Amino acid sequence: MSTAFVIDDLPLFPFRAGAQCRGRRAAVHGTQAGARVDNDRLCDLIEAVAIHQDRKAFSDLFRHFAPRLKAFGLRQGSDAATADELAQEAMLAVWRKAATFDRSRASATTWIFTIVRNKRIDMFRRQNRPEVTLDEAAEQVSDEAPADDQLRWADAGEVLREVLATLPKEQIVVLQKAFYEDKSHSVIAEELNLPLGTVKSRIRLGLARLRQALPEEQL
Amino acid sequence: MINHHPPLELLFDYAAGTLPEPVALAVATHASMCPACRDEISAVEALGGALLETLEPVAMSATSLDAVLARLDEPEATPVTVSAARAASGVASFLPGPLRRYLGEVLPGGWDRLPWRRVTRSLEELRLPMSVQGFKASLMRLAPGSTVPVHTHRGQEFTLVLAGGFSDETGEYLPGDFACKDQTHVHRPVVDTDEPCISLVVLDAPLKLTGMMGRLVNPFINRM
Repeated sequence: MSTAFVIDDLPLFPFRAGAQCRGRRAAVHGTQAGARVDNDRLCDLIEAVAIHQDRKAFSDLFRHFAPRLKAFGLRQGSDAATADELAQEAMLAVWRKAATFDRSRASATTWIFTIVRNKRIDMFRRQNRPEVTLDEAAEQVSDEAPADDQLRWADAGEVLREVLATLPKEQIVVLQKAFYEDKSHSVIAEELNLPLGTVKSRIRLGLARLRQALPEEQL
Repeated sequence: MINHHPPLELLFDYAAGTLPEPVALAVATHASMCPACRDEISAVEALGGALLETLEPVAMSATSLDAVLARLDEPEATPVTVSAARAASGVASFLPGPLRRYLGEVLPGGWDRLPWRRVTRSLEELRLPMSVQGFKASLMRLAPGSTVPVHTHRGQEFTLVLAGGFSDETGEYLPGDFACKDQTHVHRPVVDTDEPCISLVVLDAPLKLTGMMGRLVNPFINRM
């Protein structure tokens, strides 16, 4: 894996990267194709915002993510101005919530996805978003080992993208509708003129494929 | 050990952000108690992230970055929530995290200190305020050994046990267990005898009670 890659529209930064990252991703998957998004670099930028309120790092994050967040807004049917606004609001939330980012629990893109998802609920549905918590009330109930359950997803972005590329089109269509168009399973079933059970099984199959693709060592 | 989980599509819709608030609350509260479902949600979120990377970027308006940079120092409209502060201070810590913001200024002291409203001799209820119409979300406290009138559902009913337990045709439900019923189910839960059963119950349509007792109780429960 080359260390001197230019990532999309991100300028190359003399970051401390790699060294303190666990470097699992590179070890597990050597298939770096072209100008891939580099998760370590994006994580560094988010942490620079969190620790140093680094506006330069924020601007880099903005240039990388805002156009994707705008595309996300457009996919769910917003007009260009509204999609732009969603992206701006989400990026503002990135600035404010950067300290909650934990690279050992989620990839940069996954974290950004959760930010824009919540902003969408806030802006368009005008509803509260009950968030999963880890706390002592929960501990009383759980006799399973706590905590590490999210680790293996943090580095999974590369694998997920590869598996996505191999999924049948009808599974992708269902997944995209579910994520981008703010629709529940039953609405998707109606729109695609499919039985609800078919939509459910396509999503189940899609997720099962993704799970299978994760290497055992990440478990 | 949690034996009854939300179906995968509910976890998926929660992670994708498409569930209405009351159902999302039930799922989030369950997941706060259940590592396996937290993992499932993380999987879907990772998928959401991967899908985000596959979108073709669309150019932002020319002034957008400057506009956001100019706002970075604005004070937040909604600062860190009261619930987060309360959670940090350990107040009401018997409540799973997602429920805390719905219960106002609850003092420590456990379930008995909540402002229950008596519905029948064996049933107390506490409605939770929701930002969306068409649903009813409540904490329900059923007396030890009591039975819930036989009922079916016009819509869906989601039940998450928080304390105590109950049994019905589909098994035994203990804290953390999640039950999902719709109009195809007629069921008759029986509360365990040793302590009250406290559950979070979310309905997306009023209950339709089927038994004789049901006809008597119906007007009380059937409030949307």
